[in-house]
Amino acid sequence: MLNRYFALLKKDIITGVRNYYFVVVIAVAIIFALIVNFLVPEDTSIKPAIFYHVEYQGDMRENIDEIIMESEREHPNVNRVNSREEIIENMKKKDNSIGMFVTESNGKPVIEFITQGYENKKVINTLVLSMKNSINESLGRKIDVKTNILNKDVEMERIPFNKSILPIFLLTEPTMLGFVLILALVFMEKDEGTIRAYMVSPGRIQEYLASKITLMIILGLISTIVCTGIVVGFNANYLALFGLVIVGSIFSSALGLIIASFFDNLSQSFIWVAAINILFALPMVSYLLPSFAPTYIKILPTYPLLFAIREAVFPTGNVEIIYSTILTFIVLSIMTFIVSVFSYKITAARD
Amino acid sequence: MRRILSIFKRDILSSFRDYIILYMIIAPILLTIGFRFFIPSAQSAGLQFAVDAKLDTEIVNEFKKYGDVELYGTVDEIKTRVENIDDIAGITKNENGEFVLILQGNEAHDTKEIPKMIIREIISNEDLNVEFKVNSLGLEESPVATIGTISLILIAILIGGIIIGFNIIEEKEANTLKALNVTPMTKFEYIIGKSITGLILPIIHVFLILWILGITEVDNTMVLIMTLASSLVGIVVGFVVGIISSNQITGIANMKIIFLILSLTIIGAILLPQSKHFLLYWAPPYWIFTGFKGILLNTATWGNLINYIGWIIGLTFIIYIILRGKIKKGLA
Repeated sequence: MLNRYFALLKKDIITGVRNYYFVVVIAVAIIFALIVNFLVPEDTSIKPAIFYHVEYQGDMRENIDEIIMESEREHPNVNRVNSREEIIENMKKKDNSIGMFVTESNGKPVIEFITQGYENKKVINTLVLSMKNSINESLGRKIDVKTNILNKDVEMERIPFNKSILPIFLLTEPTMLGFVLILALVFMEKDEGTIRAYMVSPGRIQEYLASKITLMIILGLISTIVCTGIVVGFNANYLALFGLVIVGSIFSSALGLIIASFFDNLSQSFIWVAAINILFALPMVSYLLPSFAPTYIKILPTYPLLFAIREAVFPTGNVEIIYSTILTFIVLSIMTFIVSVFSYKITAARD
Repeated sequence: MRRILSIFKRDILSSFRDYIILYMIIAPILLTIGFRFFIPSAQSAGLQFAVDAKLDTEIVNEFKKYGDVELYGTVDEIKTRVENIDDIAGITKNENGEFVLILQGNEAHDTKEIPKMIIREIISNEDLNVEFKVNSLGLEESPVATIGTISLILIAILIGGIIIGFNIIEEKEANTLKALNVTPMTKFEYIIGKSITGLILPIIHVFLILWILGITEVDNTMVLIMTLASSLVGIVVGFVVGIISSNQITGIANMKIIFLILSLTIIGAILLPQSKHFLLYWAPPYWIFTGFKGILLNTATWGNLINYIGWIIGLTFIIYIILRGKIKKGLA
């Protein structure tokens, strides 16, 4: 059994080499790593830009200037302009922006927030609350709030934006790589009649599918090493990362095999592949906006996987998430593998 | 002309046989419907609070003004919820009646700081001698909706190209290309015939996408012209993938590299500051993204549009010239 498995694996690796799988996987990882390291700025932010103008000259002018200077230090996209009209002009050019115009009425400052219109009421309330809080602090009215941090070890250092997108790449490339590549491999063999020939040999379908999944794991690990090595060096928890990539690859490849069993060629299956890929990529939104986690995203298996990969790449000591995700994916991988074996047996019998 | 139409007819018939054309038509529509359901929840995204159910209703309501509130009966339940993957702040009171904020430790800045501000707002008695006003520009489409719509449009444009590419690979594998080479059909007729699908489908899709998403207040002529120009990129991508790939596997491998470059261009256009956009000028998808963004936000003038289309056609032509030899050789 093992001999047959290794013989099949050798054949699949040779097919992969001949069809540039290894070259492409390494090239994609290097391109991504170089772009992250040299082109994406560290301080890139998805937060809205702010355009402001202060006309107010009363007693609180100093406090307002102090608050704005603090914001300018913290956020790279706070811009001073010369009038309310200029605020609006700039906002119209940049839809992810807000405006602030400070003037005076009856001797007191009037702070006008100009929004685009799509912002929800809660965001607007938070904007006003945040300004009120800053003014109170600048007037020396600071109230301490007792905070209970459950796991002080997990307190995270700020990750530069460019490096923070590495877990997204590790999820969509090395981990989900097998989902698409395995389809192409299977369809090529369907076309060449290799599967049919294999079915009349003593070889078992489990060995045939397992060797393909192993090739995807090898490719996934190569991509992970190249990309993570260039972006974060030795700082990642590689053992955990390899564990996650391996179980993720088994799951995605087995899923690819299930899809492939229902179609005859890549063009027919393309839409399902694209739809599942997009669905599994949705947790990226929650990754970039951590408080946006609707149930339909949380139930996707790639949701915990993405955060577990982040934990492995930027370790904070929260190892439970890695263990629980690996365990979940072991169960999912076994289930999808069993289903893929059955679906191949059924389609092979049909053919 | 008859031979061009025959190539187009053959592609359509062969696609109908495999239901490919049906999938091609339906896919972007289904994605758009899915996206339409996604937009409201993404636009209403705010902070999350796990609040002690024993706190006064006024306090709970105060938190509701700033985010989504989940009520929990015990402090342990709040802690369990806070320890989940997503960012949520726990709020309770200790035995002395003081507010206590419960955090896991790895939350984003806003989840850590905003609950403190809300608590300060609740317990503060000081009168702030400042007036606040909020006015809006009346824009209804959020950046999420705009970027999502453009991404769907790009998918629709590229689907046409991908199908062209994989049709060519299939024809190569089935030796149909060799058979066509001994007919009177010229390479030019073959290329034009193959390209018709990549031109017609995106037009249908783009207008359907805009209609499903309720985006009606745009200049339809601008949309049409931009779609036609953008389709050239999809077609060239399709031909390049089809010609440089000897089989479906290498087709997928080549598509991966092309798609990585395309996606990174779009991500760059979204995330890079305007001052660094010149780094993306070489990529036609950047101009497609910029053009459609201007059209959707109604900020693009005809002058801008001609500029964007000029870049798209110019760059696509340069790519074609560079690869012309390879395309001819690949079709031979």
